[in-house]
Amino acid sequence: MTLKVDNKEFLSKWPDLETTNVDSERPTVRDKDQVELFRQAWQQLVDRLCFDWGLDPQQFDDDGVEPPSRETIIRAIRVAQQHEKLGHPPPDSVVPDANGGIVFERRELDITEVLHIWSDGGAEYQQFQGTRLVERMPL
Amino acid sequence: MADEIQPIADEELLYRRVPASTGWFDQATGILKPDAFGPHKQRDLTGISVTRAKFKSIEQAAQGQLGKSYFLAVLCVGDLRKAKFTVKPQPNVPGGYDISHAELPDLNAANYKAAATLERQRELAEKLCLRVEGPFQTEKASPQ
Repeated sequence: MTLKVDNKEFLSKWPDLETTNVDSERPTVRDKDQVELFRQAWQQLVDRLCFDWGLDPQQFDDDGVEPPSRETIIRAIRVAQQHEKLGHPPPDSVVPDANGGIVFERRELDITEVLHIWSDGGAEYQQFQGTRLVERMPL
Repeated sequence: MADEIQPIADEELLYRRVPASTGWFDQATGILKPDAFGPHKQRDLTGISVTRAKFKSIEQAAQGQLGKSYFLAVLCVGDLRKAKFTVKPQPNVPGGYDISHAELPDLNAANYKAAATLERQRELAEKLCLRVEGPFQTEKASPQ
């Protein structure tokens, strides 16, 4: 399974990432130190999903909480790798949802961006301003 | 007494149990994630569960699966109602009767992906939660 990503769309969502070629799979970014930090953070996230979540998803099994399936964890890893390649800023947090999905969240001031990998195979980008959902699109 | 339903007063406090293993509450930052109020698509058919503080101690309300730890998000009924949330007593629970059990029917299995639900979850976590208590470990099997 491959999640399709529209590079132009995604790059437009992360305005602090200065790119010179939004059509490229690996856009050129001016601040390479920052991109390297982003890359390392995404890699740590992938490692965590593989080795912490992937080896023991039952750690999340609880009253009212379904642990993410292996397939959902793999999809989350693919999303993370895709965003790493695109040089996007990493999320501040990754948590399971109540239904076996996985939620990446990044917050800056009043704006919260969410990548939600649902357990039913869907995935989407959401942007909140405060508590208001101002944008939502499938990945 | 098993069919008695006591109305919920505005001044009552409610507890929402938050499993520590999920990372929905970060003790270091004090950030509570909206996912703590996400409806389960099979269990929360009529709304997400909360416990009425007037009927249970905080330690009792935090009891869950044996060996697991839980935080409790504390909410005030009056605040919820001002924010247009419905709070409903629901003492009939699977396998018995629990006078302390209530529900927020606006957040339920049928609408768990709806925009309004995602916004309400965030409102609960970021605006309406008074504080988070815990963690409390469950050391004995829950009476439920």
